[in-house]
Amino acid sequence: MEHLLDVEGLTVEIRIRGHAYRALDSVGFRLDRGEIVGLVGESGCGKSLTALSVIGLLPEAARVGAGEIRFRGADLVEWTEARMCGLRGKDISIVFQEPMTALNPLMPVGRQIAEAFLQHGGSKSEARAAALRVMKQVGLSRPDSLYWEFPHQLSGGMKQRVVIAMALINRPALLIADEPTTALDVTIQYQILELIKQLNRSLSTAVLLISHDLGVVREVCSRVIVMYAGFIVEEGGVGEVLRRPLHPYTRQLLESIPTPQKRGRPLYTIPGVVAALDQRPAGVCPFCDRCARARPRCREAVPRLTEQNGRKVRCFFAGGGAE
Amino acid sequence: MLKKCVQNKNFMIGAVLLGILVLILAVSFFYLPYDPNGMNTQQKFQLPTPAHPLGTDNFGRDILSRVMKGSQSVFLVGFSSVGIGFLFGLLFGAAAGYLGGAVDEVLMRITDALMAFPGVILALVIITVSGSSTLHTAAALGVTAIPRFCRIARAGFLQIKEMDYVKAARSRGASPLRLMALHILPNMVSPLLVTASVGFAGAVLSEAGLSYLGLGIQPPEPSWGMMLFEAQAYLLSSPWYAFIPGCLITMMVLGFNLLGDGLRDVTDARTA
Repeated sequence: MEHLLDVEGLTVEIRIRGHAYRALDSVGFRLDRGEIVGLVGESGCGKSLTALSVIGLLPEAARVGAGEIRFRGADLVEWTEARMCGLRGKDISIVFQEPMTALNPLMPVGRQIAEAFLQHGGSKSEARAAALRVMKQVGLSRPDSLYWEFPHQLSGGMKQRVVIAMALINRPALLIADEPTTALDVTIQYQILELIKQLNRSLSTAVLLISHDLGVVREVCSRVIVMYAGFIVEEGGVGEVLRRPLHPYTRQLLESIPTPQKRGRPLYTIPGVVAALDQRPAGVCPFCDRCARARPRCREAVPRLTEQNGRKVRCFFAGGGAE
Repeated sequence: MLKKCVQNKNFMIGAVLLGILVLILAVSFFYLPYDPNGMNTQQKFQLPTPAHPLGTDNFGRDILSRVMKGSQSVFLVGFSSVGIGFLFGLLFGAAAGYLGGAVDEVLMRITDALMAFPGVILALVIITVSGSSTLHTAAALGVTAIPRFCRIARAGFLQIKEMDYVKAARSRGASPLRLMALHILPNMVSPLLVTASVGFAGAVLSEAGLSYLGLGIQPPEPSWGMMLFEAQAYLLSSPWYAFIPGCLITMMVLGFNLLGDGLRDVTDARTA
């Protein structure tokens, strides 16, 4: 069966002072119709870069070095900018992290929502009708008057709903949500997640949810992909990965989440930070410097992403080897 | 916005000064007390009298009428040179800022070359080559204004094209032209307006300078700079004559500069 999105061997390089650094290294994953997949990892691990390369909006300094991004069977890496314009906002849309800055301050929000419809061949009145419809769908009350309001008149939660409405007006097959709830407070966060889940069911839109909050991922996703320093280190069903993580990074991530059981004890944190792009050692396990179970072998080669029981993991000692 | 403008002292003083000048301009189209070029050698160098409220010049021409008529060319030259500078500066700046890379490099080096010449010298060269007339003066001053607008527009485009809402618009499939016209340009109107306002003051000053040198607006057509030049010879005997055009030029330049400053303060979120 053909997958909706099939990324294979994706390598993205970023040029810093004339030198190209690999920010994504042979990233591969699949997404099927109607699925919600989580993409987790710390800041700087390449989650957003993965998302941006799928929709073809990589920053100027970055370029795809190798690999394929097949969407409905067609390789998007090969596509021209003009062709991507026809795809963006129609078949694939993205919701950015900051609803405060993702809206043009000088344009009424309704017109911004309608823009994607207008850009993909709708008439003005159709676009307006579609915008009002989708505004209602994402739970914005009084869409008629809201249509003409400016972003500064809206609250944070409303703005994020507007941004989601913008992304969904053309009923895209794939929605990329880049930390859609990070900038919102917890109650609004819950509402937005519920909204995404509900829209995923009613429109059968596949969602690639980027987050660094494992709680959010547990809540909405069916599968989860864990990234570290440009590599996919673990992939599998949400329940399994979070209950019985195979990769030390996932395990250490889970340990650093505060829970009621850990009350009264100092919270675990993973030592160190993600190495800066120009300071990543080559030819070693990307996580070896911060890993609690690193062995000499980890510094000899990059472990391969191996599959076991429907899960994938990139560690020499995964699956109890290191226990 | 309007309220903030009214509260801003600079803006209000500038607006009042310019209001007076615009009033003079408006009246000049319908009514001039005397023929601005009509001479009357019997009444040379008169001090202000009820018949000639601003006195008369070395040929006995009514200064008020000449000043009023002159305001037309001042505004014409100001508007057209700012218009030319604004239009081309915006086009080049947008291309340089949005496209970046080689286009940016080439356009900005041309701009640098233009900027390397002092504005008035460049205008002088252009007028010398093309011949002096009101229109050529406006065009020459317009060309000298391009680099300033180009720089401002480029900076704005560079900055705003990285904004999330522009990326968001791109992610909705908006074409580059649409991005520039609808999402970037409206967000940089205020720095452009400020530049236009200050640029207008500069153009008025340069026009006065060129006319003073005899290269701007040609006599007998009245121009404030020209009048100042003529009055120079009689500065000791009748300082009144030099005082009037000098005052008006000052009012104009001060007015636009204050208006520009005020606009900047009002539109700048940090100082507002």
